[in-house]
Amino acid sequence: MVQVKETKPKLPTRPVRFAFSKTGVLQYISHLDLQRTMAHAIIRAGIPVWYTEGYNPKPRLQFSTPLSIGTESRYELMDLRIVLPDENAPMPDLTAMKDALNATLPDELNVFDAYEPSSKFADIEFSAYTVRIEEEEPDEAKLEACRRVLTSSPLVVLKRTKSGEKDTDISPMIRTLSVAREGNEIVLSMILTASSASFLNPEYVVTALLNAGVLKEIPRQEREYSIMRENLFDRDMKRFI
Amino acid sequence: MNHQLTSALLKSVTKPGRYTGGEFKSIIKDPAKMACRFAFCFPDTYEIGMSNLGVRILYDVLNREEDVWCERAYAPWGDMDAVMSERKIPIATAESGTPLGEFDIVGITLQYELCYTTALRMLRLSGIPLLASERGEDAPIILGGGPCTYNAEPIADFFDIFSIGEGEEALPELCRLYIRMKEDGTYTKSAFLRAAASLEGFYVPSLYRVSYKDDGRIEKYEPLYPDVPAKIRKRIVADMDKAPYPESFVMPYIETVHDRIVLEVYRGCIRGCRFCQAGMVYRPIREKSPETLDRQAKCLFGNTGYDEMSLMSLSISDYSRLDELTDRLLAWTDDRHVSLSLPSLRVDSFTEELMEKIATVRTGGLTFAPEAGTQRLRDVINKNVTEEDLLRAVNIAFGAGKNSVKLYFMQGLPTETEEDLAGIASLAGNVVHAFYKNPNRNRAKGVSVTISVSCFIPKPFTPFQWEGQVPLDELKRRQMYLKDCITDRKIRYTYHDAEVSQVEAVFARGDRKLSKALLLAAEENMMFDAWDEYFSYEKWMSVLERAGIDPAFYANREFGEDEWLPWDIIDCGVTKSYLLRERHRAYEEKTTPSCAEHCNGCGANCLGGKNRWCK
Repeated sequence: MVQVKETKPKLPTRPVRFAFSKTGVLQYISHLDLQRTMAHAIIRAGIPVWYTEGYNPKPRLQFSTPLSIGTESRYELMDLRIVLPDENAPMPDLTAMKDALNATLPDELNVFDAYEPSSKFADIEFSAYTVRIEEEEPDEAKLEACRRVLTSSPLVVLKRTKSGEKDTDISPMIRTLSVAREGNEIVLSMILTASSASFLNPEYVVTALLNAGVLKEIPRQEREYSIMRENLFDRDMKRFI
Repeated sequence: MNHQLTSALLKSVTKPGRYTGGEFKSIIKDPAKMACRFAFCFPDTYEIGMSNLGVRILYDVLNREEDVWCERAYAPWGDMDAVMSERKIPIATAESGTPLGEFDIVGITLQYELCYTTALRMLRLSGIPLLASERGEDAPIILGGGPCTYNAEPIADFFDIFSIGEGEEALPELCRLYIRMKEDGTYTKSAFLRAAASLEGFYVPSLYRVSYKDDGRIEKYEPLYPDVPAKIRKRIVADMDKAPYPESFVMPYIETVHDRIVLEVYRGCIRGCRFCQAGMVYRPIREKSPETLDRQAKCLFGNTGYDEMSLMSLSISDYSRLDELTDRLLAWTDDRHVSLSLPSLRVDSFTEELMEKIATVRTGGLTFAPEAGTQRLRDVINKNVTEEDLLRAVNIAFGAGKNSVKLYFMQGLPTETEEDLAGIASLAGNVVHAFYKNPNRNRAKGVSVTISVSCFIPKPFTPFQWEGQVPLDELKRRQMYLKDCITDRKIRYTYHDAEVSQVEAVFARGDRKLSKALLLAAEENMMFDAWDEYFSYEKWMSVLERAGIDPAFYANREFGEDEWLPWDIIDCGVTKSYLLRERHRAYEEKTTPSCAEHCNGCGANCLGGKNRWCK
């Protein structure tokens, strides 16, 4: 018994890129969960998304550099292809498409831009983050101690790799890093590598700092900090769009 | 979400997405305008609780009441449980993050006996006293519902009230009574429970005096007051076409067990397998029309964006208008890349056409449930399928390129002999032969036949409710005997833990004396008994012993036909005389035709309901 599926004429498709933020409780959902959540929302929004072919067709969605659980982001990108009714059809109104998608997403996933992309995610080299660590009245000496720790080389942390946990020098993966104080928070602003060849999860920078013992000793389960991805850059440090 | 779970705590546990709430389409209301706050608790993990259709239906139904806010809560997994108990953080709802203790009504759905300890764990973590008699006026009303309430006696001491049967109409009625009594100032917990006992389908265990004979069997149940019903008749929804059905589902962010559109096609079952509780207690059979189902499917697709749709019921191929339904659905689902799936197929209804239509049948693994290894034993259990039916079904599958089949069986069924066990092995062997004899088989790979064998557990409201479970050692011996019967390496044999099945049997047929054991188990922080990581037979035996309970009295003893059964307080429609008749037919190895062929007078039609089969 052979299944003969009617072959439908191939319709033209065009790429669309959506820029969105992922904040609040959405920081606790994984990359895979984000993909599923977005796929459902795209269908709800009625976006004429292009599906992969084969036995189990799915909307083909591609995301920029994955975000770890526990990291928020102001700048995430998602690519998909939309199907046009014929060759001469104009590009649909992307602002309307963005609004339709937003209307069916929780507030903590906010799509703020939609456009035809002119770059490839493989060209993303760096990502900027802001880390806010709660610390009562940190003085200048403490900030200086943080700077000393985080700009030292080598800076070794136990890093999870495909072949198990390994002591790794993360200093070459930190491009820039500054330490400041805002009220009862130590604020790290940093740019880390974010390409497939070299990717540093900002959690390791926090771990390196906490391991150094310059902050008040409190158990990890009570150590409050937040991480926000602010931006993505290409090799020339231009904002990746 | 639970406001006391800080980001550091969330980051320290596995799958923090279980605890954050805030899911798309979860319902947020203004607490100031609410007259009744209802926490719907599922005593298992978030992933399992979110997959439950009953919760989705009742969440929708209760929230249709303007002044009622129904919220959800799940049991935290062990790592989070440890964090919460250490810091005294109570369980709170996903929607508003309100601790369970602050609700008017806490409803706990009891889907399987092995969730009892988890249910108690949820109360304990929330600082709510476990025993109903120890809860004051300030504590929430603790309401139980779900299939286990057909024999709620082992947990009766912990609950104020049980909802018996279908909840779509009953639960809003209960909330309305609560609101009315609060508003007119007549509310006290005892006055409310007394009034609720007069609503149809509610069982208030504290309103009955239970006495026992010297040997531990029940002497009788006596209502404490004349207005308390002697028997509680279960509720049903009369017309499934008119019954409310959710137009949308709360969309989980993390992957759950059943993350898809679920269409409930009909309630009840025409078959009458003699071991099956669901087949009896969900009677009478009430179907939805294909028009209703198609409308509900379209609505759910538009509101969820799910690309998979599961047609649900106890035996989907028995739906009298299945072709019409699948044709209607396939008219739009293919173009929208929505695939249909069927959870349960009977071998005698498996056709080439069905295989072509249904994506999961086309692409996924195939599972059939002959349940027993010989025709004699299949007749005893009234399965009404033959080896010929099975071989015909697998041949269709093999001819279409499948090369793996899974077969479900039960071990320890009443009257089972070694011949019946050997029959399981030979039936599986014949499926292997059928593959190699099939000229159209997929020659690229060999065949794999998995037989998954569970232990028979006698359940209330079945013709086998009187049967004793085969003793543990004998169950284990039979498991090994079957293992030795299997010589073909293409047959994979998996079997259930007999110890788990024994504990399940104790609680399935237990009475109120078991509350003592559950209380001890709760004090030992036992929970998640349905999970291998947590279940401990040694702990259970120790707890039962300390409570002075002989597990064999409940699990292995043959109950007398004239004995007062713990669940005799409930009227589920199907009569005891019908169940007895069926039990005797089982011993005579006589089958009983399905409701579609012949009315067997089970008694469920006295409940009414718009249905096709019973007149």
